[in-house]
Amino acid sequence: MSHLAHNKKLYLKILNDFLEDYENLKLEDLDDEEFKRQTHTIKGLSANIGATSLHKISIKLDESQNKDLLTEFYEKLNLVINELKNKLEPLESDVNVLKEDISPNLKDELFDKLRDAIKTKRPKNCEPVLDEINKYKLSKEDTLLFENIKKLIIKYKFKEAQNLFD
Amino acid sequence: MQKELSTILVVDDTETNIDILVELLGNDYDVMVALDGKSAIEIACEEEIELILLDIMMPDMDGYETCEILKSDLKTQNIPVIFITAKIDEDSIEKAYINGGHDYVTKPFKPKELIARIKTQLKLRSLIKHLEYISSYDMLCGIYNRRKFFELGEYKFGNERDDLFVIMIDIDNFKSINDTYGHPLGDEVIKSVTKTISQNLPNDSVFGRLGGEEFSIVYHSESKENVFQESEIMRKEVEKLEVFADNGDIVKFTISAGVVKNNAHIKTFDQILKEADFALYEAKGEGRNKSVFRD
Repeated sequence: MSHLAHNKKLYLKILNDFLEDYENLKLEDLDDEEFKRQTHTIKGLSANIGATSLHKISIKLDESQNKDLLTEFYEKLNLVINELKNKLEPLESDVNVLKEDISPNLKDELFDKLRDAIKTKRPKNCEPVLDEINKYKLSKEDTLLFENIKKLIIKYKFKEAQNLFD
Repeated sequence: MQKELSTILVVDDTETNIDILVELLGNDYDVMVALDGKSAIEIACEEEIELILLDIMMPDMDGYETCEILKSDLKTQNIPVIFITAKIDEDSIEKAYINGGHDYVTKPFKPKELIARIKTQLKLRSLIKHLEYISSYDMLCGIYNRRKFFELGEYKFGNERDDLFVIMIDIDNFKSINDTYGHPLGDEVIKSVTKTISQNLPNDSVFGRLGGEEFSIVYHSESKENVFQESEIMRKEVEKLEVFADNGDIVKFTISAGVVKNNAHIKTFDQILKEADFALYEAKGEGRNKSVFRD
């Protein structure tokens, strides 16, 4: 992750995503194919976040698919999860930031801009529009729509985000 | 911005991997994202993708299958695919190449290596595109050259449809234009004629320069009357053209056209071109600046 050292926001997002995705992981409940896919993914992600011990046991688990290794795997995973829980602070929230009022016309204009950006299926096109809309105080209904769309964009689910608009 | 940067499609079902790739590549490339193989194929068909970074382990359709489908479709088969995966065994690597992958990068990403490999594939892609261009297009007028015209024409002819037509076109008295005003002006005339014909081409036409001042068009049409009319429109549009010579002369020029329709007696593409050539000779013999249809 040395290449991401300058990007604290992304690094924290990756750590938070790891915590959120694997805090309640139950590999034993998965069918063989999904088990294989998950162990393989964790092998890659643990290396990304620098969790060396978890990475080592994940390699063994990925290669052997031997469920006897699960006890050791969970031990290492829980160490990482607990460390993340203790050390990670919640991602910067914008709840307390003072937001500007927005006119109906500007709101429509920005939402249209966001819809166009989503259609391009390019994260870099969506980012500035999301930031721009974030500056304004929206109605309850619009806030709900915007937050849902934002969640989908962050997860790269552009089609679903587009469907929310339509 | 999107047009200047090479467009890279990242295909991975794990959000974190995409986060990292978007961060790594987002400033230097136009990055698009797909979370599964099916969406990746859709995007590759719809957009001008120049490179695909493809994960192997994905639910439903894995990276191997996705790559195989991309390679079997004319629209997407030339897009280079770099597999990105945590699989490092030799069998997986071999399978990636067998299924059409151009390169293979393991996770966790080593950014400098990944970027170097991306650059290599994009450079190769751009060189191949350039080679394809210079081996397919006429350098003077930008239409298909003889080789490409025959390749595409043979393909159309091979479909054995009897609604296939060929128009053979020649610039009238071109030698005297060259002799009087010199070759640079002759080149201007060729460019002007081909530009005008290109602007009036029916859909799905194959238009090429066979050599010198001779050109040909191959296309399908519902009726010979339509084709003849289209040939006449081109001829009349060319008749309106003018090129200015260095000595102040206004140089005007015309074309003749021979038109034929495919039929059961014609067995080869060369033969239909020969028939069109006969029709062209007739047009020349009848005083030039005209279209002749030969049954």
